Amino acid sequence: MASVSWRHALFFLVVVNLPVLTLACSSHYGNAIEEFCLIKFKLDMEVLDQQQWCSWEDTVESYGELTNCTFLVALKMNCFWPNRMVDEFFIRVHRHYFHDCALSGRLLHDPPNRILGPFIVVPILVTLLMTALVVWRSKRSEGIV
Amino acid sequence: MTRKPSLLLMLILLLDTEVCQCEDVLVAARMSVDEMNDIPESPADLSVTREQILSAQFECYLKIMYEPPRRDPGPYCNRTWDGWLCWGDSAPGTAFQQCPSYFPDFEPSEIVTKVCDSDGHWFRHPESNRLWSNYTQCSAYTKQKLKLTLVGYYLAIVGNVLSIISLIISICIFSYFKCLSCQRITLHKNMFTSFILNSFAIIGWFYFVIGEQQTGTDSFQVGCKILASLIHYTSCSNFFWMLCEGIYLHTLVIVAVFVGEQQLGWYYVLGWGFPVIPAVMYAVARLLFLDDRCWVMNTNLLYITHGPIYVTLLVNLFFLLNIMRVLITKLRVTHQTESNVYMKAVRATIILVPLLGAQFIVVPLQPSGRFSLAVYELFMNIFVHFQGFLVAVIFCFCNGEVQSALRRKFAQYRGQWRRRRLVTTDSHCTYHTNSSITETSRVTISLEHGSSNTHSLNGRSNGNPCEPEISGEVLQSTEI
Repeated sequence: MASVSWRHALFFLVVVNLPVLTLACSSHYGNAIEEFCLIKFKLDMEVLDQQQWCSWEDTVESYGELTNCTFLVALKMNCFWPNRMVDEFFIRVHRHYFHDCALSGRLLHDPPNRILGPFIVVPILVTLLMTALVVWRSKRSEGIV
Repeated sequence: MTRKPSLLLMLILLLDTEVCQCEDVLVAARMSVDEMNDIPESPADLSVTREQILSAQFECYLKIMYEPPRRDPGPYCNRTWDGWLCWGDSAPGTAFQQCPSYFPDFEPSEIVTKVCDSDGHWFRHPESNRLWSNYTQCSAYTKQKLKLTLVGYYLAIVGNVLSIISLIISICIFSYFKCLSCQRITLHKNMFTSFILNSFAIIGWFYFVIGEQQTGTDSFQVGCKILASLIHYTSCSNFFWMLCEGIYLHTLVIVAVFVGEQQLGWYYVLGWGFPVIPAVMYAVARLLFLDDRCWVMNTNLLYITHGPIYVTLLVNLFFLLNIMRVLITKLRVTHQTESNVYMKAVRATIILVPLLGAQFIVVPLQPSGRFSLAVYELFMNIFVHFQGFLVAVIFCFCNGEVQSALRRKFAQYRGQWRRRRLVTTDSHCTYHTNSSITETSRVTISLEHGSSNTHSLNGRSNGNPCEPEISGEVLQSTEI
């Protein structure tokens, strides 16, 4: 008896919410990702130390899953991705978790000049040294057959 | 926040339990731009791309958070992340950026546009009513570019094969004709060997790395990185052997004019041993700081090997110009004929400097237009990959001594065949009018020491094949 009434309730809910399901994206999307996707992300970030929140290697997996989740919910709710609500959601997430992280440096990039400099200058200096050495040695070898 | 959305979510889960994999997100995103894409991607490539896009998204939201709000009056479109690129607050009009390099068929030199209308809303695609940025230019010309790249690929292979063949022939000629073998020829042979190794390394690179589909495996990565380091080593070695030629001539003419034979040991060290240093430093730096797949990314780390090459070219140019100055000002007065000979030798080496160096000098002049860029790339391809062939032509096939030696040999064989008798000859050849640099230096010595010695030069001495039979007054050289 209880299960029948539960199924009735479910059916009723479906009927009531059907217009919402078939319509285009609504503001419920924002609530949906807030409720559904953020939970897992919160759990993942709580496992990490607060100092590790800015470490890209540690957070990339959970950040990727969060992004994926918002995309999947968008697909289900007939929203295109990304949209204004996604922007606002991620700005909130960043304000909470990543507010003092470095603005760049996650993509592969050249090392800074103070490291690049010696790597370039040293072979050049050794080249000049070797050239001078060879000229000096050939000068010294006069008379030797 | 009501309870309704939670139940709604439960319903969604009950009704549809399909689970998408991460890669589908990427594929779906890509399909929205380019429906027909037949360039295959391995799973390793996809994960690299996904990480790049995620990093870009992360940094975009950080930037959106940090940037101060727009102070200009009037309507504007809000800063946003469109899925691939970051857009800041924009006035009504068209905002544009460089195409990202996430996908193999995206050309970073093309432009992405995003329209902001006068109400401060971003452009929506009329068909789907979704916010839309125009990425069509990024992959519009990919098919043509692919064709051109293929042409460049075949040119490179042909150029390198031709270089290898001509250089091997030159080395054989130099080794066979003992009369040609002098120290300068030894240096030539070493330079040619370095060019041959360079061509082999480049052919190996094109064949194994660019032609290969499975780029993800570890052993493949190790292999292609070793090959990349080898190419840098042999390329450095080419230029250092050129420098050795310049130093040798410099020593001969200016520094130690009375030297009979120089010690070649240090030249070998400079030509073969020293290029190991920049090549190893490049490999180490690349492994530590920018370890991308097969090290194909363009980076300032390339200057670790290109820096010494520039220095080599400049130093070589300086030496050769110095020699020419000495020849023109000092020796022309006293030793007319020798200075002519030296001048021709210097001319060959000094032609090499711009020939091999032009590929580096021209790089900053790279044009940006599509057509001119294609022409530029074509010329660079031809130039770079036919260098070995050009070197063989300049130093061997156009060399007067080589030509006369070959002519004599051919005449000998023809005479043999005609008369059908065995003539005992070896690869010694008799000189009457030709001379090479080393012979000229000995003549210079003898002329310095007085004319009485001149007569001793007539006739052979000790079987040394480089000694000429020269009559005192005739010293000609027909070519370089």
